[in-house]
Amino acid sequence: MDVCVRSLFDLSRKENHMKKRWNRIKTFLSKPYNVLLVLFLVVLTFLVVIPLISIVGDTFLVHSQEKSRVGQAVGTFTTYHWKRVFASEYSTSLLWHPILHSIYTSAWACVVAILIGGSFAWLVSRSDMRWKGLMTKLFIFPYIMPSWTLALAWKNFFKNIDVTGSNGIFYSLTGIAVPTWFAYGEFPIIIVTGMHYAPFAYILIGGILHNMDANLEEAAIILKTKRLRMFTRITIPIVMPAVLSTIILVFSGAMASFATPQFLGLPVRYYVLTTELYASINGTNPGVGYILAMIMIVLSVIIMTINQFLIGNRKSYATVTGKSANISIFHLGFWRTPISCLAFFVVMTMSVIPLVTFALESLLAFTGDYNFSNLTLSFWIGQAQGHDTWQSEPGILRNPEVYRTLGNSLKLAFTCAVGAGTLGFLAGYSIVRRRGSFISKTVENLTFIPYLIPSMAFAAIYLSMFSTRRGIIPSLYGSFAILALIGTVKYLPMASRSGVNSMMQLSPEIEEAGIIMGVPWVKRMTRIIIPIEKATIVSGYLLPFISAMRELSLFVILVTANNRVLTTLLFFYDEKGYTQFSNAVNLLIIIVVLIINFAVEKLTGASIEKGVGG
Amino acid sequence: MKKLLALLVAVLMVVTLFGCNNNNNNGGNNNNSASGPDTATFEQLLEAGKKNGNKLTVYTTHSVVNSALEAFMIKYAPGIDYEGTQIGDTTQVTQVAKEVKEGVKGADIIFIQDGARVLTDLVDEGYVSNWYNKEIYDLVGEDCEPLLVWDYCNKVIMYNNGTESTFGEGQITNIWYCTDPQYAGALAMKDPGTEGVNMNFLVNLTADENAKKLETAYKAYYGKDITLDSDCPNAGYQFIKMMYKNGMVLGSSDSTIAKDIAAAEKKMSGLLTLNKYLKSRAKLDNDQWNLLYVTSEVNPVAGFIYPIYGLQVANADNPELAKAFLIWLYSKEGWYGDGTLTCKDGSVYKGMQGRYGDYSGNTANPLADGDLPVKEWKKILIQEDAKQAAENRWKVEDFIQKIK
Repeated sequence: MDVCVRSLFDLSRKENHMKKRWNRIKTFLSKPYNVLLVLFLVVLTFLVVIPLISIVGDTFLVHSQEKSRVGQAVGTFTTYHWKRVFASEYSTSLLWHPILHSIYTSAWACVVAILIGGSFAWLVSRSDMRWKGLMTKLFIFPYIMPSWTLALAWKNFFKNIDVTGSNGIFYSLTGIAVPTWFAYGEFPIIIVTGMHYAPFAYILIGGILHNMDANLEEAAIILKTKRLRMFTRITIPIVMPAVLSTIILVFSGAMASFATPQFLGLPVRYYVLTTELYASINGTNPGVGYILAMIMIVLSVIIMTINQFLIGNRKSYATVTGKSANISIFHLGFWRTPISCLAFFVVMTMSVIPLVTFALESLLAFTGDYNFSNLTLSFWIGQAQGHDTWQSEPGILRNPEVYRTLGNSLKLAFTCAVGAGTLGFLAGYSIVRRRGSFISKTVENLTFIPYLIPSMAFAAIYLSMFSTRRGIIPSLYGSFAILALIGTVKYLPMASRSGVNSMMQLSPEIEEAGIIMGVPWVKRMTRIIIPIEKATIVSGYLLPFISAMRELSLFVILVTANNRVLTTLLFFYDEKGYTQFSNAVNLLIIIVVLIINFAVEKLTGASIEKGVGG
Repeated sequence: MKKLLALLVAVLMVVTLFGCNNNNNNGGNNNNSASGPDTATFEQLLEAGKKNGNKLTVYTTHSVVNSALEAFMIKYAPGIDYEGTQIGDTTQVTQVAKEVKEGVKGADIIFIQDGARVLTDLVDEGYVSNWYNKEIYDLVGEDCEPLLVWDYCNKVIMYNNGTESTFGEGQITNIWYCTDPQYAGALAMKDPGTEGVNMNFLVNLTADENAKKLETAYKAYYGKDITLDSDCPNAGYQFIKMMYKNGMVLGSSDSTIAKDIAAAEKKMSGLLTLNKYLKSRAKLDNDQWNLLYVTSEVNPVAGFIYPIYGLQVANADNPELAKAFLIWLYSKEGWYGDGTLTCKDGSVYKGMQGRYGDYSGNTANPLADGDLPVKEWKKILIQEDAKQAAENRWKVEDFIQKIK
C-alpha cells in the first residue's frame, strides 16, 4: 500500500514536473520574438553551420577531376589535398605566395583607403573646402560600383605596350607609356582596391569627425597650440578607433576581392588567395580550393575578432565625447581653392573618369583606336554582324540575353533584399528583445558568421553542399534558389546589424504600451515599430539590393548559363574578349544601381551611408 | 559546454549521413562509349525525336551551333521547343557533371572542346557518351573514336608586321623563339589554367615523340644540344619552363590578345585561334590596322589543332532529336547552309561560311576561301591527343604550378 501511494506520488510529481516544463515552453513560445529566435537558430544552423562543417569533409575526398593525380577512386578518403597545400613542393606557389600577396596588397589598400577617404572626410567635415555637396555625392560612387569597375577602367587607361603590345587611353592622350609595374600587378591592385574602399573610410571616419567634441580643439586654440600639434594630438587620437576599425574592414574586404586581382594580376602572373581558389575550384584540383577557402575563413575570423575588440573600444569612446553644438571649421585660407581643386580632381578620377572610359570603350568600332572616326553606337543598338566579325552579337540594347540577365539580376537583387532585409530586421528585433540570453547571443553570432566568410569561399561551400541532394532537399545546382539563398544569407549580417542598431535605439516601452492595450504582434510591428524605424529598415533592404546587383565573387561559380546575371554576363564577355560589350554592360549595371539608389533615397530618406555607417 | 559538444556531435552525424547519401547518387548511365556505329538513320531518328516531342537542349562552346540549332529546328522539327546556350568548356564540364549526377534537366547534347577533361570528368563517369551512326561513320571515319569530332579548330602563332619594330615575315621560324631573352614577353596566350585546350597542347608537347622534335629544334635554334634542368624530364618540360620564365603573357581571351597584337607596336605574337586572323583583316579593309600573319613554317610546330566533340548526355530528354541534329550538322546544309535556311530572327543561316579556322569532321564539307584543308594543317600543327593529355595533364599542371 505504502509502495503504491509512493509510486502514485512519484507519478504525480513527474506529471507536475512535465506540466511545469510544458507550461514553461508554452510561455516561452507565446512570445513572438522567442519563436523567431528558435526559427533563426534552426535555419541558420542549417544554412551557416552545417555548410561550414561540410566543406571540411570535401577537403578529405577525391573528386572526379582528381582521380588521376590522387590515384584513388572518386569519393574515397584522402589526405592528398592537405599534404599538397601544406607540405609539398607546391606549397609556396599554391599557398604561401598567394597568401603573402593577399596580405601585402590588402594592407597597402588600407593605407590608400584611409589616406584618400580620411583626408576627404576631414576636408568635408572640418574645413571650408568648396563644392562639398557635389563631391560628397560623387565620392560614394566607387562603393556603389562593382568592385572591379575601377580595375577595368585602370586597364583601359594604362594598358601598356610591354605586356599587351599596345597602349591604352593614357598613352593616346599624353604620349607617355607607363611602366609595367604601374599598369599590372600589385601596384594597381593596391590603388584600385584602396580607391574602391575609400568611401568606406570616408563614411566611418567622417561619422566620428562630425560627432567629435570641437571644444577640445577650441581649448587648444585658446592655449595657442600649433595647428600641426592640434592635428596630431587631438584630431588623430579621436579618429584613431574609427581608422583602426576601417583598416580591419577594408583589409577584410580586400582579402576577399577576386575580380580586381584577376583582371590586373593575371597578365603578369600575380596570384592572390582568391584567384588561386578560383583556379583550383575550376581546375583539376577542387580539394585544394576547398582548403584555400577554409584558410580564408580562418583569416577572416582572426581579422573580425580584432575588429570586434576595436569596435567595442570605439563605442565606449564615442559615448564619452558626445556631440558638440558648434563644430569648428578649419579655414584653408590661400590653399582653399588649390585643395578644393585637388580634391575635385581625385573625386573625378575615382568616380567620373571610369564611367567615361567605359562609355568610350563601348563606342569604339575597333579597340585601341581612339580617333573620332572610329566611334560607333553599333555595340549598343546595332545588329549582329556575323561570326567572322568582332560583333557577333546584337548591341546590348537590342540583345535579348542582356534583358534576360538584367531581369535575373533585378529579380535576384530584389529577392535577396527582401529576404535579407526582412530576416535581418526580424533578427534584430528578436535579438534585442531577448538581449543577454544565451539564445539571443547565439543567434546574433550566427547571423554575423556569413560576414566572416569571403564571398568566393562561401560560394565554394554552397556549391559543395547544395549541388547534391541532401535528404529531402533536392540538388539546387543551376537553380535560381541557390543564388537567392546564398545572397540572402551572405547579406543577412548587413541587415541584422542595422536591425540590431535601430532596435537598440527604440525603447521597449513603446511596444509594451501596445501589448497592454492588447494590440496583436503583427499590428504592433506594422503600426508601431516599422513606421518608427522606416528609414533604417529601408537602408537594411537597400544595402543587400545594391550588393547583389554588383556582386560577382559570390555568384560566379554558382551561376550556370541558364541563370546568368548581369555581372556574370560581363565576366563572360570579358573572358570572350568582347571588350565593347563588357564595357557597355558594366556601364549599364552602374546606371541601374545609381538610379535605384537615387530613387530609394528620394522616396524614403534611406541611404547607403546610413547602411554602411550603421 | 556539454550542450555545445552534444550539438556539435549531432551536427557531425547529420553531415556524415548526408555524406553517405551523396556517394550513392550517380545519375550517369555508365554507357561510356558506343561499341560501333548505330544502324538508326537520320530519318528514323528525326521521326522518333518528333514523336518524343520533348524540348531539345544544347550546350556548346562554339557560337555557330546555336544558329545551326535554330535553322535545323525551324526546318525539320517545327513546333518542338529548343534552347541552345553557349558555355565555355570548363563551366560546361562542371555543369553537365552536376546536372546528370543529380538528375537535373540540362543538355541533351553537348559540343565541347578540351578532350582530356571530357574523358576524365564526363565520359569515364558515364555522364556523356560517344555516339555515331553509319551515316556519320561513312563521312568522318576514324575521327569517330574515342570521341566524335564535329569540328576541328586550330591555334597558330600570329603576329603583325605593320612597322619596323614588330616581327617581320620570316622572323619566327622556330618555336624556341619564345624562350629567347631577346624576345622576352613577346608571346601571349590565353591562360592554360583556364583554357583547357592550351593546357592539353602543353601536355602533348611533353609526349616523347614531340619532346624529341623539340630537342632537335632547340639545336637548330641555339646551335647546341639542349641541357635539361633537374626538374625537367624531357625537352617538352624544358620548353614550357623556359617559355614561362621568359615573360610569357597570360591573357583572359584570344580575342583580346588578338586585338592587342593587331595594334602592337613592338615584337609581339600570340598563340590564337585562326578565326581571329580573319576578324583582324576586316579592320584592315577599313583602316590602317596591322594585319595578323600566320606563321606556317615553324620548326617543329606552329601551334596545334584540336577538336570540338559532339557528345550525347546521359539524361537527355530527347536523345533521338539530339542525334538527328548531330547527323545533320555533318551535311553540307548543316555546315554551310543552303541560302534558304533561316534563323529565329529571320536572318539567313550561313553556318561556317567565311570562317577561317573551322574544319568539319566531314572533310568533304567546304572551306573558307583561302584557308588550308585540315590535312595540311595537321602536317604543321600538333593534333590534340586527348588520351595522352588526360593521363598526364595533372603532371604538367603541377609542373606549371611550381614555375609560374
